[in-house]
Amino acid sequence: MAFTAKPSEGLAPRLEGLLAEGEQIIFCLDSDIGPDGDYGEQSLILTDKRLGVLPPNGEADPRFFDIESVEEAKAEVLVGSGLLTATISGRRVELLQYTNSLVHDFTRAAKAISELVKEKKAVSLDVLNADADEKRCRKCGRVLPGWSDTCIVCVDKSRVLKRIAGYGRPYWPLLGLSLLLSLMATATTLVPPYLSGTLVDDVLTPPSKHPEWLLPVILAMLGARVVAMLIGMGRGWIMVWLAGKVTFDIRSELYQKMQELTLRFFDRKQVGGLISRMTRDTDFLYYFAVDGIMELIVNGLMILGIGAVLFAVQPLLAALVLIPAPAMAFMTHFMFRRIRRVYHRLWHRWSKMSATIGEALSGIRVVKAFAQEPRESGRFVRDAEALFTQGVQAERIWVTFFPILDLATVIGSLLVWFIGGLMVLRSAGPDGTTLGDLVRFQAYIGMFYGPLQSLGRIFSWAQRALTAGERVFEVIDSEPESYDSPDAVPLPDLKGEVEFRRVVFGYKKHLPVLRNVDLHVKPGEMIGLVGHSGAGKSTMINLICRFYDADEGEILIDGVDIRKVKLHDLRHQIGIVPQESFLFSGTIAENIAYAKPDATREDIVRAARAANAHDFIRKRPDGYDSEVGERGSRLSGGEKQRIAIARAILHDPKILILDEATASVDTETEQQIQQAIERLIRSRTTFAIAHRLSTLRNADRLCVIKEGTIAEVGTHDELLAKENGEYAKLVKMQAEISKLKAVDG
Amino acid sequence: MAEAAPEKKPHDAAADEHMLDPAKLKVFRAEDGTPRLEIEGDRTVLRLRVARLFPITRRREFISFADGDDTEIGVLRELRSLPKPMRRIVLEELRRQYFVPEITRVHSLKDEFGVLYWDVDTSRGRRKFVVREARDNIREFESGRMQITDVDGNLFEIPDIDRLPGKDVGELYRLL
Repeated sequence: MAFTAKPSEGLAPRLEGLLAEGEQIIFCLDSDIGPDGDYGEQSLILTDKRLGVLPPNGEADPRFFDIESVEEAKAEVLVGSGLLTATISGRRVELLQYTNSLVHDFTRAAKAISELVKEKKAVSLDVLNADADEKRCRKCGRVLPGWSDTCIVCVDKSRVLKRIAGYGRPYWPLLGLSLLLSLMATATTLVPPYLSGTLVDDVLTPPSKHPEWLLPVILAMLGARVVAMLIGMGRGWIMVWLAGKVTFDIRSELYQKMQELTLRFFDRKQVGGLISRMTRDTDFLYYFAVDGIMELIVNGLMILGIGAVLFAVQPLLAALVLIPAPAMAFMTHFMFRRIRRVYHRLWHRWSKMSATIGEALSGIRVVKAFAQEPRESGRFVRDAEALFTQGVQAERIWVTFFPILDLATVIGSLLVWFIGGLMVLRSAGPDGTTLGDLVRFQAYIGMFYGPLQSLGRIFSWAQRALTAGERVFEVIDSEPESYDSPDAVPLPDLKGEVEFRRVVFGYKKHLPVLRNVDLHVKPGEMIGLVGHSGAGKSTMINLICRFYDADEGEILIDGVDIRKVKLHDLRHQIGIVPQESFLFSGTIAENIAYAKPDATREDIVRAARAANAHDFIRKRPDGYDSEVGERGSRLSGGEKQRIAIARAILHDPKILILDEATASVDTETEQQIQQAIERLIRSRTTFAIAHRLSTLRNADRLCVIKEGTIAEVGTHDELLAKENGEYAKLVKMQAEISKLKAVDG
Repeated sequence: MAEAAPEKKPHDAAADEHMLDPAKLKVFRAEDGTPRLEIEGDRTVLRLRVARLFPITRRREFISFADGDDTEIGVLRELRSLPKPMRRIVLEELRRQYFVPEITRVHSLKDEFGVLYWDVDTSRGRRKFVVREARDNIREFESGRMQITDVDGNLFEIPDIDRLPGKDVGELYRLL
């Protein structure tokens, strides 16, 4: 609880005696920066009579201000921190500083103080503390990862493994078969070394007991190898398919889920990060599922099998082999962590260098235009040099570590030769250790240490797969857009009436972009949204499309709360022509038909004609089948824009949104687009944003937005007639700019 | 980044007008502690606001001076061109404006499923904080120099990650 009825323990004693008789505390709020500007504490206190700041003992005197003299309080934004100030008797007074962790609380505090002094309204602690910190787990207070509502620490850790395993459930017969094959493969691999012992003892050591066994034993060894190989192949085939299929399942689910998530989710995430979840993280799961789990099973069985055989052959020697085993596994694990760290640095340098190359090559025109080739080369050389240094360091660790590990293995084997050799020499009797046993041992040791080393590696591998799994499941578990909540109202045939009722909204809740917006738009009306950039025009549009939900107030579509309208119905009847049209790679025809994939060729051509796009499409060698390139790179801005308009015409929406549709084109193209737009807006409710005010002449009403509120509404002429009106000012300003341009030109 | 050439070029005229002459400036505090600025032969600014134009690469140069409404008055090229007492006031204001503690030692750094839990000593005292989505929130400027944004939007700086005492944080590179 941030807001309390008493300051924190350290400060509370200081408060005693400072309050007057009958003075009621409304709230106390602790800051995390002291009066000296370092981390520390001080407390803000609001009572029914006074506003005060209480520093820790000995640092400064408490400051109290009569509530009657306080005019308002503000939470000012600094870099990395905030400052609570108040206007007291006409003067600005700085109360205290706090880190960004407390911005939310102090913004509320400032609001509460202002409300108390202006409206004489005291807020309760419960209201102040409501949904205070949604980023932390309610159970353990830990920060929630990204956007997930579930705390990964509080949930069962084995849950992730279980879930990864859960994806394998539909394929259990194959998994069972694979496990069986693994068992068989391990068993068969153990045969040849055993036979080599027999070869030494019973066939080769003179006097030979069974000289006739030579060929059969060797054939048996070959046979065992061939069988082991075939089994291994079969198991490999199954596992590769299985792991690939499981990853495919996870990846498909992940992608579908991403499409359904709200835009708020995408605001908080960079596209790059999401792509890496789709590719890198699912890849990790794949590698772990194919190589990791397979290695774990095979190596585990191998170690158990060989261990058993070793003890059966000669327990003392077996113990000798096993003693260094844990140390070796531990060493491998430890070294791998170190190696990984160095390699991560290497990869980091690597990706930096790739980024440098990519940037320089895609910006080659700019590089050449400003004759900066030597600088770009220099930049590359610096990156490449850093990569070189890091690479040498990484490789050196690698080339040092493995020979040492090898030597450890060799020493183990030499030790067995020595002790085993002594045993063979001393007990040449029938029950003692034979030369054959020693040969078997040597062969098994070779097979034993390898799996041990890879087990040490698998541990860190599993950890990473778990992390990757968590990151993937976070997305899968996130709340999707509610396309069809049970009480959703179907609106298959919109009239196009839109109403904002005291709408408050901010992308971050404590920083409202729209404040108390009221607007009623009749069906078929064209509204021009005007205002400086950042005023909130695009935000209004985002709310109409229900990319976001309003924090307070409501938006009604045909009289129904937008939150209750079936999202599918709503979006199907809204069309957008954005400032920067986004085209998908594919043909022009496919892009026009994006919102209506079943459109006929006739429909597409008709829409293109209406959008004034037909003519330039007609002149291209591939006509409507022209590839637009990645994001439409093969078309000019005006061409892309007209395709976007054709797309909107074909979509035939009831509510149309034009977001700066003509901002980035020349005058002639603008005329063509303007014409197309006029055709498009007939009988549709239209919201148009434009900086060039001349393009909004045809609007039924203009709506001037200033700092998140609607400053003026009216027709072009009405608003122009207002002396000192916002719109009149904007028009005047633009007229002057065009005059300047005319003079310049 | 190249340093500005010492000789004057014709197109510098506008920029020069914008540059404040340190000899004409008087920075002082009013009785209530509010920083004020007097520009000789020009005006008095009742509440001086300062900002760094290059908060990461040039901390003591290119200081932007603005009035209480945050309208810029001009830019001071070098802080050290001011007499010491004035410089101190500007530095005090900058220190408050930029709360970006420098990490001087890492006591512990834990990675729980990509969420990083830090416990560090900083130039402004000890602090625990949490960073998630390291790739977006840890920015490497030049080799080894990093800026970290925690989950609440607090900023921290590591001057040279390879020379940071305490726990080795080389593992960080894995997350970038």
